[in-house]
Formats: sequence, C-alpha cells, structure tokens
Amino acid sequence: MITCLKFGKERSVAYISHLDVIRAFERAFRRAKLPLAFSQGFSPRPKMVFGQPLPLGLTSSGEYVDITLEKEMSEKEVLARLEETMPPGFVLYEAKNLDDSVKPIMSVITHASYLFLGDSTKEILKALEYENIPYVRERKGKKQVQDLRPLIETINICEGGVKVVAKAGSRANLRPDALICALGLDKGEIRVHRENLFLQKDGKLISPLMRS
Amino acid sequence: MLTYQDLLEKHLDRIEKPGRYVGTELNSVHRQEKPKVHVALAFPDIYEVGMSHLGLKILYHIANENPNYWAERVFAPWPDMENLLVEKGLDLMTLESSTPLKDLDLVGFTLQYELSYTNILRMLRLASIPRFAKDRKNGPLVIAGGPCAFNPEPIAPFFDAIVIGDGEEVFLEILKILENETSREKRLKKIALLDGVYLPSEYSFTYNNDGTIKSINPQKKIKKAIVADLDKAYYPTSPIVPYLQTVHDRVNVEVFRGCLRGCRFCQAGMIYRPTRERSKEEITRLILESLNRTGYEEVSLTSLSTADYSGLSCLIPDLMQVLEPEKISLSLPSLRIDSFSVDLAKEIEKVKKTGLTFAPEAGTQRMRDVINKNVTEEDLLKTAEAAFQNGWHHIKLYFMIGLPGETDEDVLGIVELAKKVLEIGRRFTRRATVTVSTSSFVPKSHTPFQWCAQDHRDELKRKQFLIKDSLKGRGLKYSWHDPEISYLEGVISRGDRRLAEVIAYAEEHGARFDTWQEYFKPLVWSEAFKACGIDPDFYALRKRDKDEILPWDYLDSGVNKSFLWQEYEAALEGKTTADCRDVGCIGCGVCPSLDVAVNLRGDK
Repeated sequence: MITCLKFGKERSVAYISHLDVIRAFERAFRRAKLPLAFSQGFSPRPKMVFGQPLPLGLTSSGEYVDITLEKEMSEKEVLARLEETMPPGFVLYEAKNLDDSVKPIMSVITHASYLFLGDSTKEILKALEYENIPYVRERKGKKQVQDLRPLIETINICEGGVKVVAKAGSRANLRPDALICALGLDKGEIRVHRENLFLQKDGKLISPLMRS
Repeated sequence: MLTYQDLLEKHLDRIEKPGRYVGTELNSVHRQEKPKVHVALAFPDIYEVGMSHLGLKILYHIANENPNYWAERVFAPWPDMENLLVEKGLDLMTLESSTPLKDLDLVGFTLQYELSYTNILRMLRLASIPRFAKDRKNGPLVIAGGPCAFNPEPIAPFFDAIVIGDGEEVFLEILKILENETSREKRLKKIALLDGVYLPSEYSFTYNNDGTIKSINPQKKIKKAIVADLDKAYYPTSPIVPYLQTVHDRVNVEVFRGCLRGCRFCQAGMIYRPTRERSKEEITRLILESLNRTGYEEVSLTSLSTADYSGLSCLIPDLMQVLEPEKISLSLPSLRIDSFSVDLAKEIEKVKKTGLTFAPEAGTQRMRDVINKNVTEEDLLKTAEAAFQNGWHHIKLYFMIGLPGETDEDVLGIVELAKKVLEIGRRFTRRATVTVSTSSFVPKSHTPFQWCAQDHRDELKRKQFLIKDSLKGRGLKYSWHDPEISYLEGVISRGDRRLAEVIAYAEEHGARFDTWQEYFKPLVWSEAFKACGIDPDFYALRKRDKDEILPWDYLDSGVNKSFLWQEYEAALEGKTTADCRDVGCIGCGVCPSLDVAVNLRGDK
C-alpha cells in the first residue's frame, strides 16, 4: 500500500540537502516502527519516493513523499506514529493512503508555488511584463541561455512579498534562484519559501494527495 | 548577535556544506534558560569527523543529563566558514546556540591526533581567546583530554588543565567544581586535585646541553583516571543523529575498553589497559535502546579489537536474530586474522556484504615477531581462503613500513604476502582483488618503541617505491601515506614543551588542517622550526638511551617503564610476549598500580 505524506521544512533545516533529508526520513520511519517495504537486492532500502527536490536554503510547507507499507495502516495511525519521531524542524501535515496503481510522486508533479519574501521582491512582479527572461548559466564549460518566462504561470502580491506559480518537475522546472539572478536581484536579500507542489489535471492544479 | 543560521541565510553560496552548522539535529540538547554551567566540547576537526567520535558523544550526553549544565559542541570551521566569521567580525561560536566560546565557563578540546593541534590554536584565535594559558586572565578555562594527552607537552602551554585517561567521571567532577566556584583561580585549584588532572603551569623542565631533559619538577607523578566497571559507567543511548553523513554514521556501542594483545607499536594498547568488558546483557540493552531512539540502520561493536570480546560467539548470533528481520546491519570494525573471524563475518554480513579488511601489520614473520603481532602467514592465508570461499571478492591488507630494524626483505614480504592472498582468491573467483595499504610507523610515547628512531622520510619514500614497483598486475592495488605528514606527526608525538612555540608559529603562518593533504604546508612547518631554532630531527630521528628522561615521564599510565624497556629489548631480539589472558600475568604493572582488574565478563 502506498501512503503519501505531506510535510514541511522549517528554517532550522532549510540547509539540509535532499539526500540528507531522505536519510533523516528513513530513520524517522524506523523510529516510528512503520512496517516499511524494502527493495530487493544487495543492499535493501526502504521503498520511498520524494517529490521534486527542494533547493538548498528554502523553507517549505508543501513537500511530499510516497512510502510503501507492507501492512495496511490507517492514515491516522501513520500520522500519530510519525509525529512522535520526526526530526526537529520537519512538520508533518497529512497522510493519504493511495491505490497501489498511482504513478510515483516525482513523475506527476507539474507545478509549484513559491513565496519570495523581502523588500526587493516587488521587482519580481515586473517579470510578467517581459517577453523573455534570459538566464545564462554555465554547463560543462559552455554557456547556456534559458528563457525563464514560459515557466512562469502567475505572479501575485502576498504578505511580505510575491507569490509565483511556476512549472516544476522533470519536464520543465523553474529554479527560484535562477529567477532571482535573471532579474538582477540580490539572493542574500530574498527569502524563498515553497508553498506547495501540484499536478495538473483537466486544466486544474490539484494536490498530489488527490491523485488517483 | 548573528547566528550560524543568519550567516547561512545571507551567504549560502559561500558555504560548501551548510549542514555542518545546523546544530538542531535529533537528540541535540537545547536549553531555554541560561544554565548554571555552560561549556563547549571542542573537536579540532570538521563536523563529519568529530561527530563520529565516541568520547565526544559520551561527554556531551553525560553533562547534559544534568539540567543545570549545558555542554554544546564546536568543530573546526572549514576555511569557507572561517573566512566568513572573520569577515563579519564574529567570534567562533557553539553549534547549538551560537554563543561565543569566550562567554562560556569552559572549553574542552579532545586530543585525537597530533596533527590537529594547529586547528586547536586556530579555533582559540577565532574565538578571541588567548592561545597561551599564561595570557588568559579571565574567560573560559581551556582544558583537554584524549589519547594524545599521554604526551601533552608540545601543547601543554596552551591549556589550563589536561585530563589523562578515562574522562567521563573526571568531567562530571569538573562541572561540579564550576557550579560551586566562580573565580578562575579557585576553580583551577580544585580541578588540580582531581584524579588524572595535570596542570601544565605547575610543572617545569630543565635541559642538558645536548637538548635532552635534565629534570622535571616537581617529581610528583600523575596517574591516569580510570573507569573500573563499564557496566556501571554511563553510556549514551540517545546520541545525536547527524543530518550529514559522518565517518561512522551508525549506532556505536563500546563492547570493551583496553586491549591486552601487546602489539609493541600500539599506544592505545598500552594506555587503555587493562581490558574491561561490558556484559552481553548490557551491550544488548544499549544497542536496542539506541536503535529505538536513533532509527539507525547499522550497529557497530567498537573497541580496539572487537573479535577479542570474550562472549562474541554468543553475542553475535543473538544480536543477528533481532537485527536481521529489521534489516539492520552489524559491523565489526576490526577483525582478527583467523577463521573464527570469517565465520563471524559470514554471520553478520547476511544483510549486506562488503569487503573484508585484515591487518597483518608486517610482511615477514621476523618483523611480526618484532612488533609482537602474534599472527602467522599460515593464519592469514587460511583466513583469506575462508573469506574467498564464502563469497568475498575483495580483501584489504593493512601494513606498516618503517618498523624498527626493518630490511628490504621485510618490505618486499608485504608484496609476496599480498600476491599469495590474491593467488588463493583466483582459485575461487576471477574478480578477486587485494588492496595493500601501508602507513608509516610513528613511534609513540608509553610504548616499547618510545626509544626508537623513526625512519627518515626519504627512506620511507624509497620503501613505498619498492612496494609500488613490485606490486603490479591485475587485482592488486596499493595505497600509502604521505611520509612528510608522518614525519611531522613523529616530531610532535614525542616532542617536549619547546615545540609549543613552533606549533604557534606554524599556525600564525597559515598551518591548519594538517591531516588534509590539500591544506598540509610542509614549507610553513620547516620555516617554523627554523624560526624557533629547533631541530625536528632531534625528536623524530633520534634513538633515546634507556636512562634518558622522556617528556612524559611524570605521567603514569599504570604500565611500568621497566616493562616497556623489557618489551623493547625483546623486540630487538625478535622475541614475542603472550597475552596475559592466555599465560597469566606478564607483569606490565597496570592492575596493581591502578587497583583494577582485567574484566572478561562477556564470557559469563
């Protein structure tokens, strides 16, 4: 059975890399004595799949991980056990049991919403007016130009800054720090929070917990 | 005040591994109110190395059990963070609360290896704490402990007090004194009265014209502190679980302290005597409790020679019965060279099969007899055969070069041995590989080889080439240590107080992270020796006489100096000495001197 968990990352753990988060979760699951299913082979690992990795330095209130349990367990029970064992700085919001046939979380994510917080973030609103937002980066010694504009869906003012909804996932993905650089803003002055991840279904953005 | 968090937020791009400075890991201790006694446990290397250290874990948690005390951690900041601290005008701070070290009651450093000493000075400097104890009129007491405290002289002038031996009980006594006394002088005076504590300022040295020591004053000896019964000793079962992958990232349970094998090069084997075992029941309890509280997927039974634990053949199957269904792997950090060890490895590697490592230490029987490594070539070949037969493809062999009286024949013996092992492996699998790793022998204090001359680094390099040139072909690999680094280690490990100026000079001129090849600066060091008028060869390459006063002679590890000399003479004659477990007391002196006994309760 697949259980999808929604969790958040607070400021104190914003500097823990994705790989380290995976390890920390494995250990939290072990402490919670969840009946995790393991992969076969030489060095068995618990079966867990994370959504789009959160860039280092960001806080978040909308991260997802699919875990596979060997025995059925109620969502309430999973939550109750994990609440006791989550490492400090990680917040657990919801658990949802899903059908075994659902596609893995990482392959279904299409969008993300980000909050850019800080005095200079009003500048980001201008992005909507541009036809192109060229972002130059170096890859394997070659300069590459990427246009960020098509990745942006909406930008709105929110408390303390702006909220950007953009493409996310393996097909097209906006990196928040790329947008900040491309617009010529100072990274050190802007805090970025990932509010949520979504998948597109029938033209609407829905929560990964609602996928079927 | 800026915190590490603030720094990371503003300058994330500049810090290679921000996870080192997070400080809120699971089971880390945080206090809301200012504690009565606030101290830092300082490890003079990076987070990943320091967080693997058992002593730090024990001291951290034993102190924090008491709500009146708060022991925080601090590691050597990597140069990226160091630059940021300096640039922002910030003093070095603790990890948990970003409190400047200079505002604490005490900073305690662990002395794990000589080449971390420049990091200690760098950390003090970054903390704006005067490096020399004589210049500190207020601020925290700076103390030290750990294996290198058994020759503390090269760094003695930097410390207010140094703890010799098992530190956990002494540390609690020190905290109690800090709680009850407020003045620096009174605190130090009381700490000086504790067992195993050395106050460098109370001792002075005079020298002969040839540079050797004429006298140490006062004559009073300092006996090491010892925990007699490990079952009664505190052991942390809620250790911090780091987010970053550390060197030993797992539950570590110490199954015994001390080792009686008597390898003559090994300092740990002498200074931690006698063997004191934990009971099987206590070990099992500690493991299960730790797993529950950490969620680790691996357990390691640690000690100087875990295969020697007297109850191992019962303990392992019992543990595996519990661990295997949970997919938790068990590891033994050091295997003995016998088929029993292969059986053990077979038992524990049901979950995951990695390589096997053995340490014959020397290439010929003659040389192994000199160092008292009581292992024969037949033992090794049989063990290797058993390992290959049971499905291992990869065997790693550890050796030392530069041992006393070593000839080229002994060095080439390493190659021959490796080839024989590979040949056996080939009988079972085409994929068989043998990796040979050599370290360069560094004579250490409190060992039978404390009187020896260390091999010159050119000689060590020649021997390394000798191996490299003949250890060729498919399935053979060779790795070695930089002889320059071993030389410096050799100078400091048997150095005296006059070296403190050299270490201070080297640090001032850019030396730090000396164990890290990319940061090691041999030129800075040779300049430092020159500037201070000190000949490093005097310490590393000189053979000492029987009657010479050694810089650590005032420290009593419990093992008699006369026993060490007797062992030295036996080594030169190629005579071995048995383990006292097998033949009865061999007269090293530790049990009567410290009023403790060898405790092999694992077998009960």
